[in-house]
Amino acid sequence: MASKDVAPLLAREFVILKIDRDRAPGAEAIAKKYQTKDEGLPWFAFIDANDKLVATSTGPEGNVGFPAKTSEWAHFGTMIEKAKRHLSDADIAALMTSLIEASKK
Amino acid sequence: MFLSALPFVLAMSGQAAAPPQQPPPPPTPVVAAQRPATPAAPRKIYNETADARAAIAAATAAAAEDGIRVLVNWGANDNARCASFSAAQRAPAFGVKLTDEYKVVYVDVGHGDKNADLLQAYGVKFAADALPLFTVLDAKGKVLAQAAGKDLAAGADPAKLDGGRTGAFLKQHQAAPPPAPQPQLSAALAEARRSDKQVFLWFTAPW
Repeated sequence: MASKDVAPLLAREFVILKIDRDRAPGAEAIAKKYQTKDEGLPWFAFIDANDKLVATSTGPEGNVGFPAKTSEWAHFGTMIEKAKRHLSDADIAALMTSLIEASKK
Repeated sequence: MFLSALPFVLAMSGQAAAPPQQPPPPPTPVVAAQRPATPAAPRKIYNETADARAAIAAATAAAAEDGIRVLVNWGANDNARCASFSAAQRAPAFGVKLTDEYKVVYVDVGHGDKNADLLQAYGVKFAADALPLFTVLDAKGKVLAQAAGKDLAAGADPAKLDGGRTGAFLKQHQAAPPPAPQPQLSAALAEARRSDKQVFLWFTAPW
């Protein structure tokens, strides 16, 4: 239910690329290009079409690769706010609601 | 198309959870006042009431998502060699990061009286002295390899698996690594330019 709601929202803003950092050759080098320090997994970043870093999952309290509490949801929200160009406020609210609901399960 | 890989979306769909027959986590410590009067039952590796067919199906779907393989571990809770595999998989005994390369499913076969239909379906020959038995499946559920614990056992202690032999079997049948991601990243950036989007770059691992 939630995933089918969220999928089109994220696809409106992003091309999503999943990288297996442990197994894919060269993945670690790509990660280091965007990270200022070693981070745990999962870790994610938004980059613009010119390969410029927009936001990362490294928040004030560390990596929020799987946002599961208020401060982590807040950081994810900050990331989305930084990146948004096509998402409306209502879209972001729906995204955040799904994220929070998912974390509670 | 990649959305199902997103951690929070997976959590919403319930697919991020470990296969139901993964060994359960260590018990949560209890404070003295809450401690039960009787000792806790020993931790069981093989879930004796799980739907093994569903667990294998879930692991196969997860393996397809991550581009890895499934290791079905057919065994029994009262078998010492089965216990040795579970212990060793948490240590680097096999020289392979098991959870990076395989979705492991533990199927209880008891003394040959449990999940016999699945053993037959996967072409596994049960022998009590051979446990654990291993079946490697590809991401479509096709059987790629079989091995018996007795053939992977340590010479000096047949009740334990030999790390080298077991590791060699696991390495031989693990999936090829995913392609180098740089071309995919270049393609994603090009697509982002074409479609006025950004790239959601998600680093993860099969575990």
